[in-house]
Order: sequence, then structure tokens, then C-alpha cells
Amino acid sequence: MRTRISSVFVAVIAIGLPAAVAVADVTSDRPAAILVFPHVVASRVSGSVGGTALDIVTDTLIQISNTANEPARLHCFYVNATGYCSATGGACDPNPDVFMGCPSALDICIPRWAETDFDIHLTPRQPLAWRASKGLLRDDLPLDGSPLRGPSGDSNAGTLVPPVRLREGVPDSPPIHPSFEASIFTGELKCIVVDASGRGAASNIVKGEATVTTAFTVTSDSGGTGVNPQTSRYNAIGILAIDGDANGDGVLELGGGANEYNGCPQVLIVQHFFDGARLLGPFEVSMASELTLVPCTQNFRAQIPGSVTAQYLVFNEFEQRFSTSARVDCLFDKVLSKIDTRHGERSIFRIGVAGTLSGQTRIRGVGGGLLGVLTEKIDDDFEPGYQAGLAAINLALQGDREQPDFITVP
Amino acid sequence: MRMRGRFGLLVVLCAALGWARSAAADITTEKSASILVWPKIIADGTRDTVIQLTNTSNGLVRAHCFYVNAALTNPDLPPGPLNPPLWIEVDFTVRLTKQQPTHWTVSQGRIVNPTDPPCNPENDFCPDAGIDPGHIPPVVPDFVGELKCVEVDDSGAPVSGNHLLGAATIIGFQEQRGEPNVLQVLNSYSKYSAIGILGDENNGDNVLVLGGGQCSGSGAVCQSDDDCGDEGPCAFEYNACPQTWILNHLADGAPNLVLEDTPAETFSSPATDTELTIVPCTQNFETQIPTTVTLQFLTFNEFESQFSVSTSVTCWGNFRLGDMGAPAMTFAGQLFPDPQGTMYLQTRIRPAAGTPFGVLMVEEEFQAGPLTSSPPFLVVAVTTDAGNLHMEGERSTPDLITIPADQLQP
Repeated sequence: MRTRISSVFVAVIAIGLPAAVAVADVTSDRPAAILVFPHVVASRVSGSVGGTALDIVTDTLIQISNTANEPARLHCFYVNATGYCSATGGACDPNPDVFMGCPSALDICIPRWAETDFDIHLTPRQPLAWRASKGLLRDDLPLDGSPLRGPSGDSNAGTLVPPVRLREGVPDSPPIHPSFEASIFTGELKCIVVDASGRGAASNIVKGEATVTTAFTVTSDSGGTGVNPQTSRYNAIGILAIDGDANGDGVLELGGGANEYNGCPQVLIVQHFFDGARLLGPFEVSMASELTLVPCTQNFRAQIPGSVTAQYLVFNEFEQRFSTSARVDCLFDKVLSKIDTRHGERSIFRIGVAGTLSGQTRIRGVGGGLLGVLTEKIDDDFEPGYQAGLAAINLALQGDREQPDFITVP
Repeated sequence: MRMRGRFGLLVVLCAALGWARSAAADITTEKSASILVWPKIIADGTRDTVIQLTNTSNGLVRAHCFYVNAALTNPDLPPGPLNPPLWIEVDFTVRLTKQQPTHWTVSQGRIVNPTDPPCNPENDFCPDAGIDPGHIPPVVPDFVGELKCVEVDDSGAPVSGNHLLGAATIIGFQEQRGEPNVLQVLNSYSKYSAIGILGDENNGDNVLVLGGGQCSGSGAVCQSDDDCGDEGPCAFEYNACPQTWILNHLADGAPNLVLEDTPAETFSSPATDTELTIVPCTQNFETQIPTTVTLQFLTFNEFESQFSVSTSVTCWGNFRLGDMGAPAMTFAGQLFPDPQGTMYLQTRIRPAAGTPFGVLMVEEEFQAGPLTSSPPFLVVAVTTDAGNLHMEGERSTPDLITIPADQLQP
């Protein structure tokens, strides 16, 4: 009899467990316990050429809010992935398509990984926001605790968000002249809900968004000035807690059997237009997309960046399939058509090769999970080189990884 | 006795597991689903919408889609009893081969033409390259409204395959003279993910039950086997609509601070407006009677102060938060004791108690830069970005989508 009941238990639980695992999700549309902002950028470029002064400011507005009726504490990490030039030491972006590279071919852009951590205290239901380049200092806090407190008596005291550090480099992409002054930050932000002792808490109560804004200011000799704004917005990727860091070891296990946090997705699905696509409508634009990926596994204690191989399966509208792969070390940020080659015109992500305008790309991490966002850029066909718009979108997710990922905090 | 005891044990365990499944029932913006909803489709001559639709499975998938035109009878006149929205529905069917992505611009539609030339390095204007998904009609001029696609099988019956992913890109450029000598330049490029409703079981009839099912015997709407009695079991069809939508946003009129960070001489501050687009979950395409939902908005600012406002939406609603008549939603409207600077808000939106219907929604931000001088004009440039909201909980009462049975014939 005992054996029978045991077997009934085992059978039912065996049926139930896969269901439980199947609902373990990473999400971008639900409050969660860990927020990941894979794409945080800030830069400033200014100078003049041919009698026209150009000033380009890019910054990321981070918005985080507490969706619960109780205070929330967060421990956050900026991961600075701005590269540096091997010979001159200036800042550069490892993505070869952005405006800041290294002055010569022998001066190689080397990725860097530096982490800065800080705390945020949110009062019940409170929204909070800051610019990455400015941070949120004590004087900026809405409820500083002295004398300002919320109706519940809670405050933001203890919150200090440092500004990210913009490092100077040499721009090398026309129309931006190498004589221009330029500085840049590119990286990731991760925030973990913790309890009073700093341990990862099982509270799925925070949500976040990132808005990347670029302001192009052009001033001509004749005195005319124009400010052209462009924005792209995405939801922070949320990792739901099950028990949180219940054992208090500072190693947050995502997926696996420890029941600490949900696992990272098995597959990321990107719906995109192939680079160079020209859309049909009351507009003439051509498109390019930039993919940002970060590994799920990160060791902030030993300062070891995650490293994952991304396998790409690409489908076009003819049901034809292509594939490629690339390493993701710390942070991967590239235009699609530069993922598989330095010669974008020959890329499988280019419409001339892909054969159709839209595609589906399925990304699977080997040796670890991946999270990411896609940013689309459109150029005005009537004014080549004029960037007419930006838009970001969260990637779709499928399945859960069988193997766990680990976030190790100091 | 022993049998009954074991059966009881099983019932208890299964009920527990069933509850767990129910609790995980979600609407999603990041997973493939059986019903996709694009709440905001614009083709008004200034802006146009590009739809992306993707089959994430290795089999052929069909979907039956509905455009709902919510434009005013005379778009040039203000809304009123003599100028109501049209609420006209047009439907069509698409077919996607395994893993096939497809796209179309709503003002153009997509015709079936097997001779469409594919893209190649010499031909980058190839808008219809690929396997045509079917004849997709263009929308009528001045279209504003919704698109909904339901996964169906070869016989045309709704099926819970959860194989569809979607996205929408709203693009538009316009230069418009405003006040004397003021030129407004619109560079609109917004993108959001289609909202997905996951299917479970499905009896294949023309009444789709969200957050419930139908008794297998009587076909009556049910939420549990108990509702069916001898006519059970209750076949759960689709996940329920969310109980609460959560939006992080700027107070209407608040500046995007990045756009203030410009060396140009400016004559006004930048300003942000947030627009919500809302559709009811319940829709009856058979009777074409629009559904009305009353919504409660609960807003928290950075000082943890709380405000509320309500409005109602019939069929399709599209409005700016600042137009709701709530000073708390506007940047200049928040008075002492809330000091100036309460720019960032969290708004929670739910159907009013007693309202039997849920809603789906997306948001779009309109970011106006500062006013600058570009003789002979003062110029302001406006950009846009769209996003998906976060969700919390699920409706306790089911919503119904009723499709005319003859529209589901293959």
C-alpha cells in the first residue's frame, strides 16, 4: 500500500514537475526580482566641420519602479564594457560600426569589463529615474529621508547612483571628423532585489525601462540651429525569483534545481528586417538592426566576465535557413550584418544575400544563457547618411535552459 | 474505500497542479501564442504601420486575421453622436510555412504574386520577396484601429498551437506649419510587440473564451469543471486578460532631460507626451456591437503621492494621458506639497469593479525637442517610441471573442 501511494505521488509529481519547470520564465512584461538592462550607452561628440558645428549627445534614461506596497531595496551593478585602444589607450567601442574606433589599423580595440555597484532604496509604489551620465546623487533624491519622507515613513536614504564614466577617444566615422572631441560609455545595468541583510530576496516586485535618447544639434554659419531627437525604448528583462538567495551564499542560481531564480531562456527569437531592407509605404527608408546580447552568467566577485557562444539560425521568407555563430564576451553589440563578416554586403543578414526583407533569427547560447535586445535604425533614402529614426524591442523567448546560470555577487 | 482514498488524494494533487497551471496563465509580449493582438495600427497618410508575423514552429500554420477600423466616420470632424467611429471589421487568412517570417505595410497590403523578384545584390527594392502568406488587403485611407490574428487549423477552426509571434512598426515623416513661423518636423519610428494570448485546450468553435473554457457537453462558458456539472469537463481555451497594467512614464509635458542638454539657443523646453491605445478583450465580430470598458487609473509619483482618474473606452481608445483632465498626470499640474520635479510616474490601470471585460494596451511616447531658430522658421522636431506595458494578475471573469462561424471556413 505504501508502495502504491508512493508510486501515485511520484507519478503525479513527475507529471506536475515539468509543468512547474515549464512556467519558469524570464520576462520583460512582469515585475521581477532581477532586472537586466543590456544596452546602456552614453556619449558626447562635438566639433565643427565646413562651418557647421555638430553636437551629438546620447544618454540612457533608466526608469525603475516598485510595484509593491512595501519598500524595496536593490543592489545594482553597472558593467562598463567600453573598450580601449591597445596602443593609444583611448576609449573605443568594440562594435566596429559605431563612430569611435582606434586611430590606426595596428591600434586594436580591446574589450574591457569593469563593474561598479551601488544601492537603491524604493519606497512603496515609487517610480525612480535617472540619466546614466548623471546618476542619482543625494541632492536628487525625491525622498531623501531628511526631512522628506513618504506617507508610509519610508525614504530613499541610502540610495546613491553614480554617474557612468565617459572616457575620451578618437572618432573615426564620417561625417564625424577625427578632430572632434568625443567620449563614450557602453555597458549593462543589472539590479537585484535584496533584503535588509543584502541577500537576494524572493520578491518579484520591480520593473524597469531604458530609453536611449540621442540629440543631434546642428548649428550653421548662418545662425540656424536644429535639434533632432531620436529615442528608443525597451523594457528591462526580468528574472523571477523562486526562493531567492535562500542559502545566502551570494551565488544566485538561475534555473537548475536550486529553486533560487528562474532559468534563462533556451532560445531567443528575433523578428527583424535584414540590413539594407527598404520598406514599402509613404516613406523611403532603409533599415539596419543592432543586436545587444549579454551572458546570463556573471561573476562580480572574481570579476570574470561571462563568455558564451551564440548559435544563430536565420530564416528568410522563403523558408530558407542559414546559420552562423559568434562569441559573446561580457557584452556583444553589433549590427546584424557584421555578426558573421566584416564585409557587411556579403553577410547572411543582408537583404542581397538573404533574398527577402524580413527574417526570423533564433539564438541559442552554448555554455550559458543569453539575454538581449534589438535596436533598429532607419536611414532616409533621400538623405544618405542621415539617421532618421531609432526603435528598440525586446526579444521573444522560448523554453528554459536545462543547465543553470550563476550570478555571483561580492 | 482504499480506492476512494487514493482517488481523493489524486484529486487534491491534481487540483493543486491545476491551480498552479491557472496561476501561471498569462498574456505575453515575448512568447509565441495562439491569438495575437496589435492594438495600434495607423495608416492615416502621415504615418503607416509595418506588420511582422512569424511562425515559430516546424509545421505549416494558418491564422485568421481581423482589421477593426476605429476611424471616425468623417476624420476631418471632431467625434460626437453625429460622427461616431466606424467600427468596421475586415478579415483575411494568412498561411506561413515552417519558421516563416512575413511582413506587410498595412496601407499596401500584400498580393499573391509568385513572380515577385527576390532581393539580390543588384536589387535591393524587393518589398514582396518571399513566399506570399496569402492575399492581405490594404486598409482603407485614414485607417486607425486594431489587428487581431487567431491561429486556425486546415479546416479553419481555431486551434491552440501557440506558434505565432508578431510586431508592429509605425513610421511617418511630416513637416507641418503650426503657429506663425513655427515648423513642426515629425520623425516617427515606433515599434512594439504584438500582445499574445496563449491557448490551452480548444473545442474549435467560433467562440473563443479567454480566462475560461466551454463545457464539453453543453458548450456553455465555464471556468471550472464544477460549472459544467454533468456536461463537463470544462475545456480551458485561452489564458485570461491581465487584471492590472503597469506603466512607467513621464508626466505629460515633462522634458526629456537629454534634449535639454544642447549647446543651441532654445526658445522652449522639450516636452514628452504619452499616448495609450486600448482595446477591450471581449469582441463580438458576429453582432459587430462594440464593447465598452470603464478603466481606473491609479498614479504614484516620486513622492509616493497617489492620484486616481477614470475613463471609459468603447471598441478602441487612443488618448494622451494629459488629455484625461487629471492635473496629476501633467508636469505642471502637480502642486505643493509635491515639489516641482515629480517628472516620473507609475500608473496602474485596471477595469473598474463590476466591469465584466478586460483590456489590452500599448503605449507610445511623443518626444518634442526644444524650439530652435532656423530662419525663417522656429523649428521643433518630434520623435516617437512605443512600448509594451507590464502586467499583473489576471481577470477572474472570462472574456469572449465571437467570430462569425462562416468566416472560419477555409
